[in-house]
Amino acid sequence: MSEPVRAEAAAEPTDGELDHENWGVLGELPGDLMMWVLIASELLVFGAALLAVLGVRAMDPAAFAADQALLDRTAGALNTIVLVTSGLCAALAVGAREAGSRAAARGWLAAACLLGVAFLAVKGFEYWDKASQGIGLETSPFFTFYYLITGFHAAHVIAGIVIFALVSVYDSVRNIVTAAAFWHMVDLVWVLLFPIIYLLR
Amino acid sequence: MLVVLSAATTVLTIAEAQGAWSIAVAAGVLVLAGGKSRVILASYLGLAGSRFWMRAINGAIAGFLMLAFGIFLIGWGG
Repeated sequence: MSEPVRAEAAAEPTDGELDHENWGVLGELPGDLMMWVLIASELLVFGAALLAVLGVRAMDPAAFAADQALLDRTAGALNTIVLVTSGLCAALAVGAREAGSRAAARGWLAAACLLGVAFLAVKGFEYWDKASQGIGLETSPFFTFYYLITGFHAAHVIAGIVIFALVSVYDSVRNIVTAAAFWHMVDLVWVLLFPIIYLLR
Repeated sequence: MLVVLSAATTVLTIAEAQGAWSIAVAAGVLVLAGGKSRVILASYLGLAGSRFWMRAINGAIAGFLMLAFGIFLIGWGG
């Protein structure tokens, strides 16, 4: 009885890595499993919030459309380009690090960070523009959702920039892959958020 | 590819659509969003290597987008 237990124990990973081989389909997920738990959680939270936006819109579509028309769609489209480009930089950082080029990986991480800062600058400009028109969190249900959802997303962008800064220092392949996965999740949320908040009329 | 899909979204929404055309534009915008999310999942998040997860997460996002479109139609009709 004790032999199989010992054999099983011997098969356990000892270096802190997850043993994906015995995890069935979970083992097919690339990278860190906990990052996938986070990605799924974030998608559920943002998904529920975006469906709530559409639900509130269904109750008063005319008022919603009037508020939505005040958004700067050009800034939103620009931010889409900025964020997907930063996602490409993050992917290139992973590729460079896996190829053993630490300097190139750091360069791509820095580029992704700079584009993240550019995203926040454009978002900040949008907020400033709305504030200068007297539009705040309590102006209307649409703007309450707008500020909460885009603000929560922007907080994730800030978190991503901090994580990239950290993995530029602690630059193991695993750390960079995990940080890039977080960034791609932020990217993914934006490509779903942008059409629903800015474009659907 | 993502930039191309984003540009297609911009082209689709550049004109102020009216009536039934706005429904078609909304559907197109959501389909393009689904296309972009598929690229991110497959290429960037690395799910292209797992048929199971690619199908599962794509299915979930497609379901989400269809639900979003359904609620949008309720608002549009109202």
